[in-house]
Amino acid sequence: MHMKKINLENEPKITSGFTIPDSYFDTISEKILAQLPEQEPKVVSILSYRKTWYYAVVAILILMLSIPIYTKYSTQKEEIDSATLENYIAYQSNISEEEIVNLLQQEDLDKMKLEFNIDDTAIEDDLKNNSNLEQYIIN
Amino acid sequence: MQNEKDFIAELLNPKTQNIAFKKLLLDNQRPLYNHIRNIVLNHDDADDVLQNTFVKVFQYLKDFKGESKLFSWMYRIATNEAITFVNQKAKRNGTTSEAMQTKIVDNLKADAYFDGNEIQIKLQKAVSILPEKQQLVFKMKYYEELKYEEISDILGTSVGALKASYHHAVKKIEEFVKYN
Repeated sequence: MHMKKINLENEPKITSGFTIPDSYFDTISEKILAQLPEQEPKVVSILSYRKTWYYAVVAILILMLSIPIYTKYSTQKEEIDSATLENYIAYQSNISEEEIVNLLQQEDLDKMKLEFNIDDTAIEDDLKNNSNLEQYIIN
Repeated sequence: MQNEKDFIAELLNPKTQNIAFKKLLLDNQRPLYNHIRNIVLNHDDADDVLQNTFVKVFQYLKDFKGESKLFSWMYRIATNEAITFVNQKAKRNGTTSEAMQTKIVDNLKADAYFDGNEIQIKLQKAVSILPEKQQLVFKMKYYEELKYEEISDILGTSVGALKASYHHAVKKIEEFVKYN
């Protein structure tokens, strides 16, 4: 069978051969226009502005009200009561007496003097009742 | 002719948008349909893809930078939509896009919206076995009669490379026709 040779450059144009249903282009544009997504309206109604403000104010109020509650709970967690602290230092700490002495300031010593306020008679009584103390003093 | 910048401004302005988009649609629906039809081959699929293309054009208009012409930009969207459509359809049918296209071309005679003669069918067959890029270049240059500069802008390929592609395509088509 003889097939005609084609020359795409010279021969009359060979079209694709595709056809289109009648009036396709009369209806397709309307069909497309109908399915375009709605654009965001530029003018926002007062109602939705009000709503936005309302939500913003409520959000700020909630935040403000929650600040004292938050700080209360968060500081409680961090605070250690003095009894626990004393127990810890007494039983757990490795701080030597020497270190404590070094840390004490003159003010602290003065305070301690006042607090203990040991008078001479009390010391004498102690010495009388405890003969071993004499040994300690001598040594 | 209306300045393209002004027209784009009209397309983006909510007050003029509807009228401007309708104009864009009416001016470009035929060439874009033909371009899509040449890739997807049957009318129903071309109809689907054309609709998707214009919806995307509408959605992406605000991102259009004006670096290329509006026309090239729309062609690029149409090309991507059509190629994606073909690939997805092939995947759904568990086949390759090449095998699917070959099958469609083999059945062109039965297509209600094809009235080509033997030569037209032969040309369609010859084109369908070309590599994807050569097919695209050939269809745009030969069937759609776009200029190399326009195709270059649409596909982002240099004019030189396009000419080489087209030349290869023509040679292969002429060989195919000679021996089949």
